[in-house]
Amino acid sequence: MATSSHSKGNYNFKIVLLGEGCVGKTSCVLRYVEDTFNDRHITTLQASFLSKKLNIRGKRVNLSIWDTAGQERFHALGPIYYRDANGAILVYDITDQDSFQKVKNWVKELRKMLGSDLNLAIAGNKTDLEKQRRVDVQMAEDYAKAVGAHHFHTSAKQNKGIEELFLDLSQRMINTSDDLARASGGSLGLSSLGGARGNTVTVVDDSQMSREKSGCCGGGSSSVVTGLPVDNNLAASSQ
Amino acid sequence: MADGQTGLHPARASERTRVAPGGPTNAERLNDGAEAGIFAPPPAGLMPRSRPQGPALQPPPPTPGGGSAKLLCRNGCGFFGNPEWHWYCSKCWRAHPQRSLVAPPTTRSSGLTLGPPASPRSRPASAGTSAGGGGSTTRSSGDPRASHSGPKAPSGDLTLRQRLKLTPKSPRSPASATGAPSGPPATFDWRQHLSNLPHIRASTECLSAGQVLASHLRHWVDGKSLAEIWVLIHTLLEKIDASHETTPIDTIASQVQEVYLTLRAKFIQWDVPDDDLSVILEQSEAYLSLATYPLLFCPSSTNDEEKDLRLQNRIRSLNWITTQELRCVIQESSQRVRDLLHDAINDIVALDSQQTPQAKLKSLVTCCKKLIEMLLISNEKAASADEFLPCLIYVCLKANPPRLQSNVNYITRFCIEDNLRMGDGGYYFASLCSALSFIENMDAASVDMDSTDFHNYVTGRSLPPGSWKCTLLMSEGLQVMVQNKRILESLSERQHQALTQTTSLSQQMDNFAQEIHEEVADILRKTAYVIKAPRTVKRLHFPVTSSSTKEPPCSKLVDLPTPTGHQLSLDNFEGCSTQNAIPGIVCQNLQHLSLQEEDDDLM
Repeated sequence: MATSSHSKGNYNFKIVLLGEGCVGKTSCVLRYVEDTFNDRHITTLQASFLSKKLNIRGKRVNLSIWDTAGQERFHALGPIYYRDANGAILVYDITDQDSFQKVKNWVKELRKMLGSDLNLAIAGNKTDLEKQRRVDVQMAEDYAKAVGAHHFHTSAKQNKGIEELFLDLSQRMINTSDDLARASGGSLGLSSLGGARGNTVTVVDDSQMSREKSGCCGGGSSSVVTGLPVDNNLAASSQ
Repeated sequence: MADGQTGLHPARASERTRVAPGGPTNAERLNDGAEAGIFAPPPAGLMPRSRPQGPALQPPPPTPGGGSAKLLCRNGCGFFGNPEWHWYCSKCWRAHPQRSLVAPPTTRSSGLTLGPPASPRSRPASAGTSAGGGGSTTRSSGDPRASHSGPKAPSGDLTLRQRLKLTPKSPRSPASATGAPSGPPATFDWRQHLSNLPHIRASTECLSAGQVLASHLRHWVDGKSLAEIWVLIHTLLEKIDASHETTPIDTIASQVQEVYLTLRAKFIQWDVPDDDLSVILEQSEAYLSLATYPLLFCPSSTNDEEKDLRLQNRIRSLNWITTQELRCVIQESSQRVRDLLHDAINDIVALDSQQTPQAKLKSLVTCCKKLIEMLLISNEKAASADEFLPCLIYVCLKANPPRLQSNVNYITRFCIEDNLRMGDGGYYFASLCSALSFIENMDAASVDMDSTDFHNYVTGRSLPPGSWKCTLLMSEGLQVMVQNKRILESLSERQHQALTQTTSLSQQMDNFAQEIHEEVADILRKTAYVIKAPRTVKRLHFPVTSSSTKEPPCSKLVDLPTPTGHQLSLDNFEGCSTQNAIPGIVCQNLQHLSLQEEDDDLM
């Protein structure tokens, strides 16, 4: 499904932000793109669509980050936004059990619609309110592991975990995109379309994905354990 | 004529039927079309022949399986289907013709043998091609190829496989067609060719877009490749021109998309930088769309128009919706916000008048930017999707833009796919689609309302209590009045303030003057110097008079000049009496003097 048009080492990725209202989706992405938390800071006109350019190991990566409306009445509109996405960030509020349940629903829906090409990151936001935590850490991380997502503890307020989340997600999207390109014969841009429309490619990707999962991350979800090799690379590249 | 041409075609037809279950017939058909399209006149008049069969090419009615979950794509992919796409989602529907067209080959082959009357129409097109330059040479190279692959079924099968191998990623890519002929033309006169197409009427905008594209291309590409690009675009134009009435619009759309993909691949191959690549692609898109807009926008083969009307009626029935129902937080009372709202409405209405997908998206982006500014003013923080989407829905409801559904469909079909995936245009377009979907499916629950109330409001049986307020809000004159009233109130308030301040100031000034006056008087009272000159003099005289008995001192004093002067000045001092220190000293001196004099007198 993921059609990442890339030419000559440039990647264009679409990331969709999902989660209940008021869990801090917008704050997270604003923190990442603009490094602002304060509401009074009005440099960004808008936070619904943001883009960010990265350089990971010499590869130019353009991220388009699409915010979605979190209210229940807009839930049905999700597919319009997450279609063709390469990655999804599912945000929940650690002080709100319901918001975690919502994440589970999204994961189920995304896996059903977009298959396993989609890279998922689950963010437990508002860790600055640790005292009021309602969502069990172990349970959340176990769940993330079970669905092939990476779990992160973030705080948009204190700027914790957000940079890591996006870097890890970008890295995984690059891997998936490379695997896809390899699977479809390794030639330019046109491959993406074939991949999107044929069912056979999806099957190939399934195995790709599982191989990648077993190969690259021993602990598929726990952010602390997995991070090391990837992070080293990222740190090296960002310098 | 029919015999001469069909000589090679039964074989092709059989080839088609044999391959049919496999699936890629469409690819083959397109390759055929591309080969036949411009370099060689269509050997069998494939497209014109298929014209009478047009209805047969129409997709089959929905399968009964789709009935249960009517909203979902009947391909089971989980996305929402659309009645207009026969309950497929857009992706599946685009992929759909590949499968559905597997069925009709028998009817098509029968059509070939029947020798439809449409074949003469292929003539002008082919004449146009040869006028394009180099057509005659490629014609000879094109025909043998076809006849070569034709007569022997096994070899035909083989070539098909080979072809598929040649283009593994996009099997339907016409790129192979442009590459295959032995001698592509060195130059290509696109104007000439454009004017030869019977249905496409080149507007001035189209010609200038072509000019811009040509100059830009020349910068990046040399002569032969340049001709290749033009041939690629014009093959498509010719195909659309010839068969736009019979080919399902989605087939045309996928052909257009393939041309974009092929172009992209070529430019990447020629090392055109990314930025210029997207510019060139957008220019080709503009050229293509301007040339074909009248044929492909809201075409008669679809029910776009019907959908437009339905949407328009739906929006009209929802005109009572206010910002409150949508929980859209904008301050409609603010003049600036209302100006922006009106501008945004204008922009979204202007979307219809633009003729290329990019320009349409641009209108939408301008509209959305204004909404975001509006939200920024109202909420004083960056607008997230939670606030933005209700706002866009509100604008759609208030604007009721003309032919909105047709426009959305046109953009979906003919916009470069990548631009819908990345960039703000893509995001806002997705938001617009969401807004439309929300409007279509809006029910009582989505606006937190009693279902009977909602029904009554929608059917117009009753009006919601707040509806007049909304109408008033939109009325310009009333708004101005309210605004002016508010300004007047604030003015009178300020005037009042100024008045009170003035009175208090004058009061203060009075008080101050009074205070100063009192203070001065007080000080004067405390320090007033009254010189009782005569008394001191008397006091001084007493001992003198008592001690000197011989002569009266007065007579002596009168004789002396200085004391008189002292006496006089003392009188003066007594007269003015405002100074205290100096006269005191002077007086003392005087007293001293007079005492001395008296003493002198005494001696």
